[in-house]
Amino acid sequence: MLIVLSLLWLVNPVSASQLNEIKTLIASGDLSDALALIKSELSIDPTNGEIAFLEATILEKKGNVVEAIDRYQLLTDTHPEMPEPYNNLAVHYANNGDLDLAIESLESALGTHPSYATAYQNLISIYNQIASQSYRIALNSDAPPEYAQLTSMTEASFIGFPVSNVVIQEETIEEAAQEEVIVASNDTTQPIAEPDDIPSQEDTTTQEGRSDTEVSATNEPVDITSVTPDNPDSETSTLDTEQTDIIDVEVAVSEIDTQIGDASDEQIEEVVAGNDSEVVVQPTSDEVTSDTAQPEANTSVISSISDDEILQNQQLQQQKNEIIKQLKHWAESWSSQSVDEYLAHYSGNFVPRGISTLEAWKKQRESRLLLRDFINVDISQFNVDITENGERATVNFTQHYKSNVFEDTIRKTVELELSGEQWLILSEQI
Amino acid sequence: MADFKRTNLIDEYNLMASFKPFFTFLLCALLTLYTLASHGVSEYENEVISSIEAIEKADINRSINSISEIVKKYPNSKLGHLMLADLLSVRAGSSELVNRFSQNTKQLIGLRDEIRQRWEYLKHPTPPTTGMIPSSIIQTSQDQEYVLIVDASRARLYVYRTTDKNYEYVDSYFMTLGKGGMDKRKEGDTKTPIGVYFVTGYIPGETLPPRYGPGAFPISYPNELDRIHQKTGYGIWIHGTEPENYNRIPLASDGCVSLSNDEFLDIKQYIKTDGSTPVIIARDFDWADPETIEENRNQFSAIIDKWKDDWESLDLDRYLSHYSNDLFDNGQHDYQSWAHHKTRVNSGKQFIKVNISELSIFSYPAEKEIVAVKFKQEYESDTYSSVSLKKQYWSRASDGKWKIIYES
Repeated sequence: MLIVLSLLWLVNPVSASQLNEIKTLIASGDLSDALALIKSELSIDPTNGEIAFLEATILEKKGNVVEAIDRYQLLTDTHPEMPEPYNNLAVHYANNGDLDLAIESLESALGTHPSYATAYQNLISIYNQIASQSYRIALNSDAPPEYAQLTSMTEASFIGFPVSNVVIQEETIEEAAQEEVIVASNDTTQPIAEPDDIPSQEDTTTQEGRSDTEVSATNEPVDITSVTPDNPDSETSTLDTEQTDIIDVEVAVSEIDTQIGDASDEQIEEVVAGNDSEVVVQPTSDEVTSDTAQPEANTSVISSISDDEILQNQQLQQQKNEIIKQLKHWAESWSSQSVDEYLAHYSGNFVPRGISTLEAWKKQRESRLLLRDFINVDISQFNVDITENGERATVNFTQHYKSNVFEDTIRKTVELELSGEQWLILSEQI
Repeated sequence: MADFKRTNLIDEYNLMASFKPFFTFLLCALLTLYTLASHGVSEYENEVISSIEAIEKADINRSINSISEIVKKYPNSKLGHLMLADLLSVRAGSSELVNRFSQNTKQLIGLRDEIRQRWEYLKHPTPPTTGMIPSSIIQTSQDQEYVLIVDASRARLYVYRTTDKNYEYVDSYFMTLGKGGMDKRKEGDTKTPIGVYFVTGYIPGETLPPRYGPGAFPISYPNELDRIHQKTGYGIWIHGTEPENYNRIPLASDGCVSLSNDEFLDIKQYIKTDGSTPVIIARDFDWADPETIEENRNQFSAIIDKWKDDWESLDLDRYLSHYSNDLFDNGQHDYQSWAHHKTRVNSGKQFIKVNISELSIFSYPAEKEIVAVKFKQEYESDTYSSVSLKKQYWSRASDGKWKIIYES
């Protein structure tokens, strides 16, 4: 028996609306406005860790890394219960090659919540078990198989979080009930919370599915996920009830991974109090998907290359060039404040953030564009990823925005869909 | 958890020591793969290689996913299981586990060796992929459509096709050879013979123990020369693999050439069982460009022609000058008795007419100075005529002249 915990954090409504607004500003690229609002919020409540954390992430986005690190470090002092600052510090340490410090920091992040540490340890145990089984198969070993010794949690201890409601959901996984995965004791696998604390399945699902990952340092030796306020949808793993023993273990791994993922997602949800979910697609999407470690779901990209593929590759490059060309046109129309041209780059399926309808969003964009004396948008350093069917693309680029009132340089990700010859923007995030 | 052994793993596979020249490497890797794409890299091997590439890039998540897929698709891939185990140990930070299974068992050494050999073959330009031809192929007869080259140095079996003018590389297969090594001499030494052989038949898998997989192609070991050299043993086959393994680790047969079952079934298309598929086995090959191959062919055809002309000339001295004084031995005759025999047969003949067709010439890989010749001989004289399949082995003497050391 394996318990899956879904942590549901309900947020203080007042704080939530402020956080929402900050997040909306961040999402629409109004970092300075967001910072201003953060400053005013912090002047009212200087101890608000979530908002202080957001401030640090904005500083980081703006390239003010040294100051951001300072803030994260400060946060680990003032809010040692928050795992996110530790995590983001670890990203910086790792990027600077200081792996020991990064490990220490990540261990501190896990240490903020004993449940995560336990779940993580369980995950490690299962990796060990599969590794051990695989060694036995590979090396034709006759030694008896060993099983992962997993630890069940016996009490919920959500220390240190501004929790107004904590719910633990128990879910029985049939596969895990098979004897291959042994949990230390069946007695401990009792429901942890009282039954009336358990939300309906619906409640849970509306809150889940937000993960918060951004793989930093593409192609760097260490892939560490940084916590930022952008929330891509995370897939929940599906369970196949007809798996072999080894696959059972993989299911368990997948579950625990998801559990860790969900738990931290929810918690980040708390921190950022966002209510939109948006997909952040990284240039290294392989790494991201595998972060949730769903061996069944994540088929790896296996390169079997033929002459045809060389041709395909050329065509792919042409498509990428076309996409970049169209995006440059989008930036030009933005710069020239040609509203119609600018808006023509957006798909009818574009989901605006913070605003209920596409029409309202278009009106808002129109007024924003026309409000400025001048706008200069310059985009560069493209990273284009086209889906296999060639109908969608994710582009990551550096955007330098300058107007008479504001200037910044950000890394932006847009999702595009092909409509006829036009690549139309489906989503936009930084 | 803090004990992350990533670099160790990479070292173990003899891969790159440093992560830094990553982009250069990736480019090279892709380019190499592109050039290799049409040349017999099996799907399985491709997947293995792409997983190793992910390891090399320290992209542990992608490599774990990729190898999980391999293990699922090929549950008997021991190599896949080893790589998965290593990677999961790394992910779990479990150096203890890696150490525990790191005793240098034969199986572990074999698997690591297999990974290294596959990797090295696919990541480096090799003679076949750069248009080179084993110089052992001098001339093939019309019915010898394909030639199999067993290259022990690279654990690779290549298929070459005879084209109008020359030879063309078709495909290559990872293979396992005898656990005793190369150069079989006696029965039970579990070595793989070195020499020029021909496929002599096919034995369907149903009639064989499971360890041979879907079937077996026996080859002509021991050949005439092996017998003269008193080499013993029999039953050297090209065969598949037992169901427990996707393929065998290198050097794990009793002297046979063992392929994965997928590849055995694939190579069947190139093999004929009527003796017209040559199998040349060597530790290593000399490689030549097509022009050199053609030169070799012209040069050696001229030698055969000269032998024929001298035979037809009825000048016994000229004829016998082609036979090695000290080495000739065909099991019945040494040089003296051969000369005596020929003198007796040729005496009083009015004319001799010899027609040679279906000539094939392969040079011996281990002993460079030996060439195996096979042809259809139509002999006609005033007293006798015959058609026969003639086999000769020629050897280069110290004076540089080619002499016959065996003739059937």
